[in-house]
Amino acid sequence: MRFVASALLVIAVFVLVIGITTVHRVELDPFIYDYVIHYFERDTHAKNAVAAILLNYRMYDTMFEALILLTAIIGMNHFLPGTGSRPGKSEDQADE
Amino acid sequence: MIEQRDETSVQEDSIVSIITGLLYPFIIVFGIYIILNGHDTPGGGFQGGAILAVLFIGRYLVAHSDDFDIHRAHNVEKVLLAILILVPVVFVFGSLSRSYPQLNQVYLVFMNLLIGFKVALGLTIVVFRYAFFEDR
Repeated sequence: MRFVASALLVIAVFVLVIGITTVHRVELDPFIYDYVIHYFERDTHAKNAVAAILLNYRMYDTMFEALILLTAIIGMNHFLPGTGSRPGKSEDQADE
Repeated sequence: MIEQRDETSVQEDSIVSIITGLLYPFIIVFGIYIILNGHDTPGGGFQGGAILAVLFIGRYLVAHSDDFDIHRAHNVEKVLLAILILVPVVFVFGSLSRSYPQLNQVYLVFMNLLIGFKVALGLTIVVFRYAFFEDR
């Protein structure tokens, strides 16, 4: 029953989102797109627009993207059983 | 004969080890190339780092080596992340990139290198952490 209810909920949300996006259309202003395409080489001296965005325009995104990998490792170290060092040495160090 | 061979060589598969040994220099060169050319061609720190992580993972798959120090790698990764946050804070947010435009290339290459080594270390730590957990 719970699975049926959750499946129905997911399908309902999917249909709702599709319906809203077909009924209600928004034309976005392409200002940022045009700016990046035209000026990224002048601003960042990179020939690759993706690198220009990742390392200059959206630097916060890259910084916190690098942080979530470290956060994932910290979470693994805390929640996986075991000490995380070598198999042979882990038991001795854990006992001390 | 086959059963005897299976008993003695559970740890090492000669085909996999030889092919991995052949591929090693190419993996290193390819990863470094992707990282260093990240600002000119498709690629960058994250992709090149993932390729470099294959080095340690492949070494573990071949030799089941357990001499990788996870704690030290974790500390190195923390230091790299600190530099990774400090450099853009000074260079981009301090708008040095506008004042000294000739430093932009150096900045892009340096950041790609930092991100590459950090991601390589991080993915290696993730895989080795699970591997050591399964080995216990």
